[in-house]
Amino acid sequence: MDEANGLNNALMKKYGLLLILSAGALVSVAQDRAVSNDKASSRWRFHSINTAGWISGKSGSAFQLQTINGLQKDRLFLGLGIGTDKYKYAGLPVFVDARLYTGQRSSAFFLYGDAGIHFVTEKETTRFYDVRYLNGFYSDIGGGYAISCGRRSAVEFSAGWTYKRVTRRTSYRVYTLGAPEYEKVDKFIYDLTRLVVKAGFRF
Amino acid sequence: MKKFGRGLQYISLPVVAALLLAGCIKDDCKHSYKIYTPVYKTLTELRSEVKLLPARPLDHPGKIYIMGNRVYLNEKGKGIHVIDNSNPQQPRNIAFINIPGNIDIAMKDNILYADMHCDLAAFDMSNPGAAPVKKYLTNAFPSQAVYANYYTNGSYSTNPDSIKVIVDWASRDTVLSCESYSWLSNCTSCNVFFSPLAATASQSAAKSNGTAGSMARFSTVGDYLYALDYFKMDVISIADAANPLLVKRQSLSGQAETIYAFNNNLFLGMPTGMSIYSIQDPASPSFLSLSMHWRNCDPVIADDKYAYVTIYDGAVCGGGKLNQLEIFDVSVLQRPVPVKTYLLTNPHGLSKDGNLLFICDGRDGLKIFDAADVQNLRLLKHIIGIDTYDVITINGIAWVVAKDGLYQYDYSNPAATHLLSKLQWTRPMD
Repeated sequence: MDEANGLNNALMKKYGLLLILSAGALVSVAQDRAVSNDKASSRWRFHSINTAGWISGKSGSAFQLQTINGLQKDRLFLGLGIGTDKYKYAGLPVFVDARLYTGQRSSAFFLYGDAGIHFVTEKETTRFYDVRYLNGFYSDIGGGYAISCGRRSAVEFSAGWTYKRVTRRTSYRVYTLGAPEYEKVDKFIYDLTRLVVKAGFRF
Repeated sequence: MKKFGRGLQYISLPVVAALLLAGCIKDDCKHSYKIYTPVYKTLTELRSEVKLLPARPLDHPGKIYIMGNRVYLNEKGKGIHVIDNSNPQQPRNIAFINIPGNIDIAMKDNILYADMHCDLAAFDMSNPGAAPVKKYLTNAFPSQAVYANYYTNGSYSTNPDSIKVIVDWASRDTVLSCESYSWLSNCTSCNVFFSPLAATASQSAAKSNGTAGSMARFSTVGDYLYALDYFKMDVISIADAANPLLVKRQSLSGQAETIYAFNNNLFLGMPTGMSIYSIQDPASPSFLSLSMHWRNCDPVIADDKYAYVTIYDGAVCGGGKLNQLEIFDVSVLQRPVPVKTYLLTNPHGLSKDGNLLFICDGRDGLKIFDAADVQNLRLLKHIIGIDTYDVITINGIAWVVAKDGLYQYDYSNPAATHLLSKLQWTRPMD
């Protein structure tokens, strides 16, 4: 299992690095062509990015909705987001979002990164033991393209990896004939790395 | 339009990237848990730990027993708190008897009987400042030492040096991948049996011998102590109170959790029903009847005509979901007839004094009914705000074992039942 994890991490790093390098190249090219005298873009302006997405992983796939609201100045957007993530164990990711656009034009490539907490909403009741779900780390990194469709509006398409950790904790009292009872606790720690494609509207 | 077409080319890039990177998805799962291994001690080692200690805070309470002005309160697996209740408004915690593995209590005269894993110990309580052990009835409950008890030549060992019991569990953390996690590593029934010890609380016996709650496994009637041991019932002669003698180990029709004695009959609460035994011949109880119900925990009490069974959901008793009071007509003990069922919240222990029926309804508090007409129980008083477990009623005072403490109520006027005192647990009951 450790070998598999190591391989997975190595692949993640490799592709992540490629993505970052490619995006970096795109940014520099775009910068050359960017219109630099757009005064509007040099101020912090509110933007709302609302997307629908599809998460796909080894355990199946799930529909996703997200809303991210924040401020943009020049090529940098910083915001707070909340969404749905019903993959395997349903929850609400709450995260900070940062994204970098390739230029001041509304149509542009961009890279994004999210980090936050996945609040599990999954409910489970069993007759014989208690089940609790513990919240865990959430992240999403990727890139995409925004197509301008108005002065400050755009349609955005993106793809990336999204990760969440969900811990399922089960516990029950063990009654052994002629012995003290004790609580048996089992933790199942799920690290779920999925692919996500999103489409949405930024205004 | 040209711009839009170029945009479409660009948006295809994330999709292509997604397809290319599809190999980088993974669902990883680790299973983290503790492995428990038993810690054994011999009965000789355990007996050396039995001693009278100064009073200590009430913790992890179990069964309760009342004899005169004294309340004996079990601390699960640890021993017995001795409480002076001369003044019900100010009970005093006066001593603690350290008895490893103790769960149940019964008394005759000044002799207190307490289980200690598979042993039965008889203490002389004439002077609570001394409480010497008068006798150990070795291996009286062999089911409690099932892992290190040997049945040879038709009998169990009575050598306290050779009998070992589990006194604790040593644990160590383990992490495995979920793929290697198997049913065996998590099952509760692998070398583990649900113990009747777990379904604890108390009950009633002949008044001359003291009073226990409705969930006890011990009952003293005249010169006999009847003690449940899983699928068996020990019949122990206590004619000489300080010298208990095992007379018989009687097989039961199933696993019994609670015992209640009334009018020369024993009413046993079982996960699958109520069983009645006659003790016309007290040395040899004879089976009279078994009334079946869904698998649940179920203490039972009785009066001249009716048996009252509370059924509550609990994993220990098989996990049935019923929570109700069932009343049986036991005019003919060989054929109990169900009379009426009342739905309740989570009923545990119960007690009866005349026409008053007291029911500990778990988180829904204590309920006092007028049970003059069993077809139409009338709720006289409902005490809320306490999570109740078991109750004993004697002469206008109700002792209620609750999740957070031992309450004493004056019910001389049932509709105006009021609190006399409360002894707080240091930790709430499980």
